[in-house]
Amino acid sequence: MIRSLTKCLTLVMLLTATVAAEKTDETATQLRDLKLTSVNGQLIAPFADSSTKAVTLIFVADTCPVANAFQPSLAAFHKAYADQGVACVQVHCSSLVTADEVKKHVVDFGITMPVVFDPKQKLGRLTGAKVTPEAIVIDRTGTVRYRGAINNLYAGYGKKRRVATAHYLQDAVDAVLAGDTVKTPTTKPVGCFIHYAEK
Amino acid sequence: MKSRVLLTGLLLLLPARVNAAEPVNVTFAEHIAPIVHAKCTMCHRKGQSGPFELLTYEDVRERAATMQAVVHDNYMPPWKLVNTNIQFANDRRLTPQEKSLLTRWVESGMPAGNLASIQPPKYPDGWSLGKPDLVVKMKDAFRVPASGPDVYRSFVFPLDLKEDKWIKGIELRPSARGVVHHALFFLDQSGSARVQDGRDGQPGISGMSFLSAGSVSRLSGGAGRGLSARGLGGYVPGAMPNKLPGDLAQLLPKGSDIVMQTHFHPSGKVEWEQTEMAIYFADKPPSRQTVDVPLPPLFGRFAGLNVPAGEKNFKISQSITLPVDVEAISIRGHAHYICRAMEMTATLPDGEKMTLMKIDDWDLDWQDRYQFAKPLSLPSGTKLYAEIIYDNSADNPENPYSPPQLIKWGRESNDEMGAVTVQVIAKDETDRPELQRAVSKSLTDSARSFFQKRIFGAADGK
Repeated sequence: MIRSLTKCLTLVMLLTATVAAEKTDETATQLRDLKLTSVNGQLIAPFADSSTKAVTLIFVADTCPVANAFQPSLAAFHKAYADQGVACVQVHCSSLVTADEVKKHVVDFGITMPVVFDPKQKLGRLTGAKVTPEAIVIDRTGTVRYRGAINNLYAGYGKKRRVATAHYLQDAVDAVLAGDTVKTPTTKPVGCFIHYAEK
Repeated sequence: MKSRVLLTGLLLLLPARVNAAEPVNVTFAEHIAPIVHAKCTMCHRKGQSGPFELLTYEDVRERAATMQAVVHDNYMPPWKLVNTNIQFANDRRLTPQEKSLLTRWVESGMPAGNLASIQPPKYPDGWSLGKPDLVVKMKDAFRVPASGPDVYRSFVFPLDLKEDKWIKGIELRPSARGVVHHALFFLDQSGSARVQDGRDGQPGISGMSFLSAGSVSRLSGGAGRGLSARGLGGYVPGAMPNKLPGDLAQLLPKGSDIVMQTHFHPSGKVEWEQTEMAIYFADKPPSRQTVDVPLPPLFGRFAGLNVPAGEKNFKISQSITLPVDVEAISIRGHAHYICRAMEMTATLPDGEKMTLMKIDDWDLDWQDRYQFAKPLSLPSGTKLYAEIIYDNSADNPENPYSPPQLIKWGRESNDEMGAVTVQVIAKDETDRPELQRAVSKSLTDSARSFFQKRIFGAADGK
């Protein structure tokens, strides 16, 4: 009885692992074939360009003060890496925000990188983004190489360092560009949680 | 065998889960809306300082996970005091019961309940304290940069009053509420703020040092000169402006200016701040005047505040014995970035001990003035004791230096200082001079002891 139960459990675990692996493969395929439309109508298929080495998705929200505080450093990041084959895209993943609000946010903060409006939260569900701001770095195989905070500027809610002392996103992108393993592939982002509407 | 242990373990988990489920069905309409409307919506509504609205079911459901996180982190609603069984006016804290309701609501899938039954909160139009006696506005707007460290800037409001007035309350209307973190009000009788205003080509006076320098000039210039204490309090998002209780009012001598020290948080985009200030006067002078009792005096100038690099637990402390019966009106703390904790206790003559204020996670961002729910009686012979703790290690994320370095007492934000100040009134107004003498003596005593230690070494200073 117990033995058969153990067998049963093992089988379930194996099945779960297989399903998870398939799901990962499927996610990788979708991320590799990523086709997005920016809020200004621009088509974005970053990996269709053979010079693209990595895509950085940054989940933001127009009303999240933590995400907004990072806009100047995101602009600097975009500027520094655009020529090195790193595509940068900001994503508004909320069913409450409107396209007009996203457009206004782009103007208010002078954002020059593409911004995607994702009210159906497809990108969020696909990548498993949980917080704004959260950065997700994807390589050409569609593999997520980094997910988490942009840097350690915020040690917690209201606990802001004078300057960041660990640059997680930049280090991860540098590693991907150099063909190295990302030393810190996940960190815990501090910010506003994304609410996923029931499907 | 292993499987049996596993199975038993699983079975043990089951009853626990059943117990955790409470019978009450927590809904937004019945349980959550009243909490949110009472404690959050004040700031989290259109035109206020909160970055998003928290009014409707949709608003709150969208933010529920974030609210859950910040509430349990005690980051929101902003209220830094640890509960020591002292009652305060305008207490914004969520009770443990309210926190637990929020958790249960989130965990049960955030049911709406009967949304039609919700009474939306009402807020006054215009100034919440009513028609002001005087409205002043910053002459020019100040540009707050998009990013970088927090900005401290003092703005001068020239009043040019021809006669002495008594201030009952001040209400502030910042134009860029999202970046104005807080503001503190000071009085300048010396005219020096006007002179310094705009010297660097922008409206106002840069940094924190101006006001601390004012405190020093107050010492040398005698009582009533230079900048007065912060009896007027300040503007903190989330705190309803209120008038001083009873017939209390703060003297605004003719010819003096109000100086507003503003703390800005860059928001990620450039913002322009041009504050409007409404002032409310009392129609007659108060029957009693407040006295500030700061411990240690002069923000710890003579408290030996030299915090070595890496020191996690550096303590300064001081006490004073009240010579007359007083009533405590409000209490506030001040320190800069590496302060971690502060408290003030009162030991009554009969031995009863009260903790008037305790903060165990000091945050320069929220230096509020906490008004007691009703004046707190402290009889003659009560010993007040304040203790302030600093963490100058690399583990303190708010440390302005990386790697840490020696931090001394000073006026700029990267320096340190610290005091807990209780605002009191003598029960009998004729006792006030004696109280003021005791406060002055605590300052001169600490200064004498400080210089003795410096000259003769620590052993002789005892």
